[in-house]
Amino acid sequence: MKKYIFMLCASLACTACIHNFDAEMASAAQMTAENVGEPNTTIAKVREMYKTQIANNTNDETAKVNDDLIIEGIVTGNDLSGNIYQSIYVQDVNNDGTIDSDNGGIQVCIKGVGSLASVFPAGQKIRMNLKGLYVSGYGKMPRIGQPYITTSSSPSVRIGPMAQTHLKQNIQLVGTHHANIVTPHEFTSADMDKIDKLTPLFVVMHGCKIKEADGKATYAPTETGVYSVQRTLQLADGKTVVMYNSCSASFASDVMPTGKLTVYGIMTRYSSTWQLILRSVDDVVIEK
Amino acid sequence: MSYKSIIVAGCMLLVASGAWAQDKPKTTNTQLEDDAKQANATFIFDEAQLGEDDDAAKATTLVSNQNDPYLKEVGYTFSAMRFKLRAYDSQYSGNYFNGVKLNNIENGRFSFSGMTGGLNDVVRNQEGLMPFDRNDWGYVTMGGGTNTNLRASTYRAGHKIGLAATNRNYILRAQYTYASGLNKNGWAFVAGLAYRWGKEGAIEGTFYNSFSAMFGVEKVFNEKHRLSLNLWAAPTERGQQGAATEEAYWLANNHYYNPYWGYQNGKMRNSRVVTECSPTALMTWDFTPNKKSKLTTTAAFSYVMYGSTALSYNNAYNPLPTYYKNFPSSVVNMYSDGSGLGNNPETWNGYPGLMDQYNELRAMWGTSAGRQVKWDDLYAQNLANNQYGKDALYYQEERHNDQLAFRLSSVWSQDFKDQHLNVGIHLNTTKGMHYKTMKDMLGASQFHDYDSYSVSEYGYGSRQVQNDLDNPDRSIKKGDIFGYNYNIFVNKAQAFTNYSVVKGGFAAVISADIEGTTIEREGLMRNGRAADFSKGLSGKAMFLGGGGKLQLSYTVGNHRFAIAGGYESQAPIAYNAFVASRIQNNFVNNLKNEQILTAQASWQWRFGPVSGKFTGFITRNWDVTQQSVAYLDPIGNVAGSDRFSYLTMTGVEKRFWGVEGAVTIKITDNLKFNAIGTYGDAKYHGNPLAQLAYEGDNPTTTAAMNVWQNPVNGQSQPLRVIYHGMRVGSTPLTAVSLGLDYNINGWYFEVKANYYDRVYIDASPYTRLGSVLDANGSEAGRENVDYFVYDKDAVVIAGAPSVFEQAEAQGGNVYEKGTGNLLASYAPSQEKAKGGWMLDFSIGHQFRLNRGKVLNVNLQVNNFTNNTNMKTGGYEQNRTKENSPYKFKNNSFYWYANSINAFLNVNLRF
Repeated sequence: MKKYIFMLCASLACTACIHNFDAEMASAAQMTAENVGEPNTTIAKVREMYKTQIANNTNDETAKVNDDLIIEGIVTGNDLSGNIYQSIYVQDVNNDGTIDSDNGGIQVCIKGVGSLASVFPAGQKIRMNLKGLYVSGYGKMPRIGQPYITTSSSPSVRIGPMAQTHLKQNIQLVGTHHANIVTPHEFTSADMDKIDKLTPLFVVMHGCKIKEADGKATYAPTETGVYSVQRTLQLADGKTVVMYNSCSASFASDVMPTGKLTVYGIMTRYSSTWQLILRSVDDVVIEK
Repeated sequence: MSYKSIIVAGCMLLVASGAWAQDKPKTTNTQLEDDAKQANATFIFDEAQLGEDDDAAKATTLVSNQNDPYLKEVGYTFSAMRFKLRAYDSQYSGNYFNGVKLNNIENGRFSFSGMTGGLNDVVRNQEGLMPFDRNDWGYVTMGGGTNTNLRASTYRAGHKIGLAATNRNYILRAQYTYASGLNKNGWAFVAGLAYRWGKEGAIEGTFYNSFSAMFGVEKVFNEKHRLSLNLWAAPTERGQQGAATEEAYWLANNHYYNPYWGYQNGKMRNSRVVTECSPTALMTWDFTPNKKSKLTTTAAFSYVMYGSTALSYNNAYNPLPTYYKNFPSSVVNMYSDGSGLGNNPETWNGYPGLMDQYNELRAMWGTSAGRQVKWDDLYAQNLANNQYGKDALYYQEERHNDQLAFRLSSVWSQDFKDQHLNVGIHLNTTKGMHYKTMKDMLGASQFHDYDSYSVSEYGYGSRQVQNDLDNPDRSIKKGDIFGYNYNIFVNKAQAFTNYSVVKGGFAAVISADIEGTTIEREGLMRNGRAADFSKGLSGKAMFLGGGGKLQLSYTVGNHRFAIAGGYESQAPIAYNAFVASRIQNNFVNNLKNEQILTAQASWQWRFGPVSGKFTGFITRNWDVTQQSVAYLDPIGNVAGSDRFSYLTMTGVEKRFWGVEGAVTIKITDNLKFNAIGTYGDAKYHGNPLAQLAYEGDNPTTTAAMNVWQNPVNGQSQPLRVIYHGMRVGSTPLTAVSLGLDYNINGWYFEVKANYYDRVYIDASPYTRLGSVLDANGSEAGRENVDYFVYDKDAVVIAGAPSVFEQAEAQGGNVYEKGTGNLLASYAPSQEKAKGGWMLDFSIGHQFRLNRGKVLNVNLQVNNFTNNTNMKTGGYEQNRTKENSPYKFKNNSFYWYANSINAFLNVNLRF
């Protein structure tokens, strides 16, 4: 009798205790490339090289990068609040390590990554090898991505988010991020004739007002069939730019503050329209 | 044989099973370079966060009756294809133990793995009945029922030890049963222990760890009184398998790809782990005042603990590998060549950039790590995200469905000369507890109890975003309850009787019952989106039901003819009774009893060595309430605001009919030929009313979702699901088995050829909503779903299909021009899986050893031709987002029957 019980216990003891999983020390670096190589060009030069494609929102093979173009840049904006979707914004680094805040950077479109903000926080330096990717424009604003088909009844091809597999293939994180390295460009209406040069760019504007702010209006109220809401941002001297707010932003239902504001954000364009995109609700600061 | 050789045999078995465990189908990476779930724990499942309760679609039929040649074999023979008797849902079959019904009263079903998992040996003493037979223990409806006798004195005295090795859900099973038999002092004991284990089952990424124990004692006081007590529990932990689309199976090169697991630090980790245990205590008092009367009274108490984990995300990217954006077919529409881009990837004119993406995603699917959950990346993102002081992007929650249930049954059985009368009652009071807990924060340092889907619509400061308004902004740590917390109370009282009489060859059985049911919800959290009607009691919904059955039979010689019919009105299932049970207290509109009318005729016969039974049946089941849950594209396509939705259909009607047959030919004393089979149908009839609710619960949006506006005259019509003609899915409506049975000198061989066909894929009610079928053109890219207008004055073009024919071909509503009268509605067609054959064989031998010991060795090999193309079922996607290259309607999720699998069983009785 005892021997049978032993056999039973022996089979019970065969279990491996497999189901306790400890939190592992994983880092975002394991999601990206280890080393894409030394940078051999700049964002400014890449914009110049592909200026025809950018200006024409080209979607064909002429937008494809066939050589090892390796850039280095600093992340200025990401999808932290959901206002920016499937993109990060990157600007050139000066020789002294500061961010080049006088020249527009470039949008990098990536899909399939839950939180680009966790992998690419603002102030993170990255290196990218553009080989195999596409450089073009969206509303003439420079971006790096891959072609995709729009799904209207008459579909067309545009350059949009690259597949998530490119994180490991083309993008490298360099060191840890330093949030205070991201210095904004002081944007005034005197800048408004330089739309080619100054988009996309991390900016700050003082003495602004949101025209539609009335103490009740929210950034992007939910409405049937609507993805985003455009507000009017008035600069100190009365000139306006569009403030583009996504209905999926976490602050979409927050009430827009009235009065004078200091507004940070990524200044983008759609064709000849200036368009400011907030990175989070903290980009709007009430001036005292 | 000595003890020693048995131990050696046992250990060899253990070793062999270890070797077996490695020898399972693998994907071959060398073949490469050549192509959204879900659910809430209750019902139908969907992509995104929803997972499935694995018991739902996979529940098989288990009424078995040794005297009925069809029922004896059908459940077991066809189990590989998840066969359901007469295509009925398992809630229509009753599972009784010592006369008390142990089905879960909230969803009607009986959970074998939860209740008696592993204890096969102690639940062998069963009596299975179809609804019309004389029943001394209960009153069963259309699916029949089984009563298992657990009284300790009824077990054969002795020990039984069993070891089994297999390559199914688990790899190894060990069982030990001991029964004392009734001793001279009137005591009897029975004890059973079983353990089932598999580090990785036949399906990749699944595991099994289940221990079960049963203890029973019976005391016979005197001729009149006996008392018996049984206690059992089966604590189990197992990793589940999820369905996937055909594209996923193709990319993984394997019909057994499982999206519910991934690597963490190189180790396999399953994302859908079920942990369950249902300790039950059952006490029976048998009172036999005289030889002709018996009163059987049983009380049972059980505490069900059931939890199922699921990966969830918050403002992040859906981590399920089968999320549609991970598929190469999300790059370009594979199913249409309108757009000039063709449906052949090799000729995507001038856009090799698209081809690059397609190939990149294909290559990702080609690696094991690439096509499974990327746990390491989830941790990496959570850890990096901690710097922002924000809530976890990814986490694992555990959804609990616990229960406290008390049941009582008492049946008086009275024998007369050729008549018999049973009168009984069944009572059930159950408290179901439903809540979710934080299982694992995956490296994140904080989480708060908000409804993340409501944030952009209402904002963090709003009341709507709170799941628990009385404890707003609550910080959640591992083990805390969050999200939802509610109880469902169900009480049922049933009284029944049956009277049977036998006169000469004639027999008649008349049965009737009456029952009362109450259902009530108690919310334990004040949900911000339903602040006034979520916390507290919903009020009781009361249902009065009942019915009757009649069977007449005539036995002459070796033949028995029987004809029977019955009607039943029974309460709706509690799980389906609430509009959005996780959030609020409201009952669904139009909630009422469901009705069943069923009839059958049978002929059991013998002509010498040939015997068998043929049965025909027909059933109509109407006023049924059915609910499904899914993540849907939001109405109006507000980006990112996917909604967890409930769709309740009321007034559902299903019609079943079929023929069943069993034939046995005794060819020689040792050789028998057996055939069983069924051919039938199970169809939805009519277009039920529909009620939609979603968890964002904005009253304006909810009202808008529930409006079906007539596109011609602009008036509102009651919202319906166009479901007429859809068939019950995930069971073969045609199943035939031909077998040969040979036994000689204690050896037995059996080979069976089983043919299955007409398995239908569950049709999505969401995509068949009248309003969804009508929507046209207003959403970009909405190709072929549209409404049709019949103009009686229009010129008829010879040979061209009429408007009705066009609508029937693709599904849609036909309205009359001008008046807008709805003339006809056609449901888009339902997918049918291809039929096929699966072959089984088994071989066994009984060794009679010294001192009365018996050793049984049995090897079964199922599907030995390794047919890996048999779908057991599946479900369509519920999303209707037409403006995406990924075509949801061409990408249903499927389950496949197991590839070749074996079971080696060694049993020693002494």
